[in-house]
Amino acid sequence: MVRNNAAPDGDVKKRIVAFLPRLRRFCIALARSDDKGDDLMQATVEKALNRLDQWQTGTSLESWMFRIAQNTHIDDIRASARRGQHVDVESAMELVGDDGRQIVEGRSELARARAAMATLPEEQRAALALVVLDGQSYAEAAQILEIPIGTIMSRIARARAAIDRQLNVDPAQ
Amino acid sequence: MNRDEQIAAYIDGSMTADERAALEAQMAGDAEMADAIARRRKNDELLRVAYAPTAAGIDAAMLKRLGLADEVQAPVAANDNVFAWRRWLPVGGAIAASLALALVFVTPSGDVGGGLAGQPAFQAALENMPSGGNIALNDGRQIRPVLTFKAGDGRYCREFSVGGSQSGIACRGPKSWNIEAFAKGSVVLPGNTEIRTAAGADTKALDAAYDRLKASDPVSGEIEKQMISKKWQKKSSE
Repeated sequence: MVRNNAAPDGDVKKRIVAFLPRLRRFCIALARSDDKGDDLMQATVEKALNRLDQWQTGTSLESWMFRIAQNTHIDDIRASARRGQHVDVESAMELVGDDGRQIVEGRSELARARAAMATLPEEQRAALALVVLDGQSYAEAAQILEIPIGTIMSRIARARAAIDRQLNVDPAQ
Repeated sequence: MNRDEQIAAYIDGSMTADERAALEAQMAGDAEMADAIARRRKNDELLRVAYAPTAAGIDAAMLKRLGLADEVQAPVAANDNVFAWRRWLPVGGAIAASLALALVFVTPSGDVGGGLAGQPAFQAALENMPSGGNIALNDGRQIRPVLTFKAGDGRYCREFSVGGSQSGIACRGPKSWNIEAFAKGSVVLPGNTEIRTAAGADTKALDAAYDRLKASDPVSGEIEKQMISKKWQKKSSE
């Protein structure tokens, strides 16, 4: 059977362009820096364009691309670990140095929010980025990350508790 | 569900009506629980602002690098477009504008445009996006700022289109963009190189708002860029 991705390439590309701001935000949240986020976004778009035949028309192009971004990010982390490199947490977090708190202290509320997000474990950050930043439902986020809905809920719950500790309960002020 | 999960499910609307009612009853007698929910909502809001989607840097060079440029030209703002922008079209019976008012929903501060202004992506698009770029709203429609002008009262305002079938004008208030006018019909942006009016579009409706706001000519792309980077704060000299 010939599957016909009904939308011609041009239409798909226009959809991708319109989706870039959201994809980019997700990538920046995953990669913990703007530059690395842009690299991740670029790799994601490349893969999506090369594998457009694997996207099933009628399913969400955006969800499919979020999944590619997440998988690419995890692959990157594993590859750096195999090469014996430390995942570059310090520079990735940008705002948190040796004395993270002190640096964060002087920053704006928004910078503190970003720093708090950056300290979350990978899997919590991905879930939070989809649900809280992008407004996806638990069901949609579960489908994108290919994990059960209950797992999404517990990751979101732990992520929110950790962020709350950093921003409010254990305030850096 | 543990306590943190309950709070999460409550905030994210993932509870059944019964669970929700039970938690709300619990909140009434549990200040700490109510407090935790309020704090987390505020944290969420902070995160959404800290990670607002932006089109800054998504330009022709990046689209080319991404392999998206052959199909989609770099966004070209109507601002810099010498072509037929409808305000400069000779309008025969300009007074006929009033006939179209029925389709404009203008209220001083009410819910114009079906809650559009409350969407973070809408605010982000008008705040950060140069004219001609698109941001996808969560419901899949695309919002595109079309041009920027200055109102007679000194506010900066932007015309935008939504989903290609509706358009409106929003002005920058102290904290957010407020919709001033909203109409069916939208400008057509063929290949992003010129702007013209869709057949049958109710464009006169927005013209009435342009008149009411005492709109300046559209500002240049350069000024628009500066205003975006200054977060639309006017210089004191202005």
